[in-house]
Amino acid sequence: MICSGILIAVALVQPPTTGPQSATATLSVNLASLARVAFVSTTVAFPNADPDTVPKVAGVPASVGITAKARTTRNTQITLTVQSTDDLRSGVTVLPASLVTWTATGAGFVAGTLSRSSAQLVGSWTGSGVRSGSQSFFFENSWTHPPGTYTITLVYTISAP
Amino acid sequence: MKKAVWSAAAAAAILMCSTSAQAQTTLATQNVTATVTVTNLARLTVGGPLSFPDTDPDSATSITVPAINVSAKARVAASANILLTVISDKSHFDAPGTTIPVSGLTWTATGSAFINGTMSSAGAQTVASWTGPANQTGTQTYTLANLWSYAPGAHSVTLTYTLSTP
Repeated sequence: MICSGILIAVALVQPPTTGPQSATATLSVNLASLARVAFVSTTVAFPNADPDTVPKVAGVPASVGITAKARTTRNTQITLTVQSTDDLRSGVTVLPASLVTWTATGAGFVAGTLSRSSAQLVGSWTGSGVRSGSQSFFFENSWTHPPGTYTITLVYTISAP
Repeated sequence: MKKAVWSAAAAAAILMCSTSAQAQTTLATQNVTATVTVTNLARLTVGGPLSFPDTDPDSATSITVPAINVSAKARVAASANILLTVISDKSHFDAPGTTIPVSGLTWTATGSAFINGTMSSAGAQTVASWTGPANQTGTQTYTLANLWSYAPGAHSVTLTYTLSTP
């Protein structure tokens, strides 16, 4: 957190006479907009599973805690979005990022489907504050997925107008 | 003049879009990495059993039974060739007799990867083939030739289906 304090003026005058004296000090604090998003875990793994018995593979950990902090001007709409940098890749084999979906808990957090082409809403709030929630990720399993170890990077962004 | 007005309007629209796009300010970003593990896997399901009822050869020279469903699932590399075959454990239904050969057993198939064929005990016969991971479903409708030369009795053979990669 950045917090800068500037002491603007301090006027101290030698009292010319005895008796009650007063002095004025003006303290001005300049707070810049600031935001931070943190995760309990920055990795999610989807283990191998039989598509007939596990059509949707739950991620490990089952739930990823999210803390989104934002300090903005009053009534500002804060949004937390996620977008993948690419599709799921295992060497030259590619699976679409949209196979990854999530459910959410926590006020302001919403469920969604991952995309590499556009940022998807994870949560939105109004004004400054600390918001906590979680995402539970799922991978759509299928017999048509070629074997491999696929990776994908999710970029979370907190933004304000 | 009209063209100039339209150009101005277009420029204004572009400017408005540009302003809107720039209006959102990124305050913070964070990356999360996800890993998905997918391994080779295969599953084969064949309906049955098949039962050919006794039929007068003069009234029907062949006996056709209801189609059976065949489900062949394979999660393999995109370039992998998949082969589904069937083979009989005996050359004749009435083995050690020789009156009802399994070569009299034929099938017609439905399903994009499935083909028609004739049963054999000498070599595996192709039922379906394709390339890459897939969930193939189809049917086989078996027909047995019905001849006067068959020895009476209840005879059976076992058909073994195999899903493999060469």
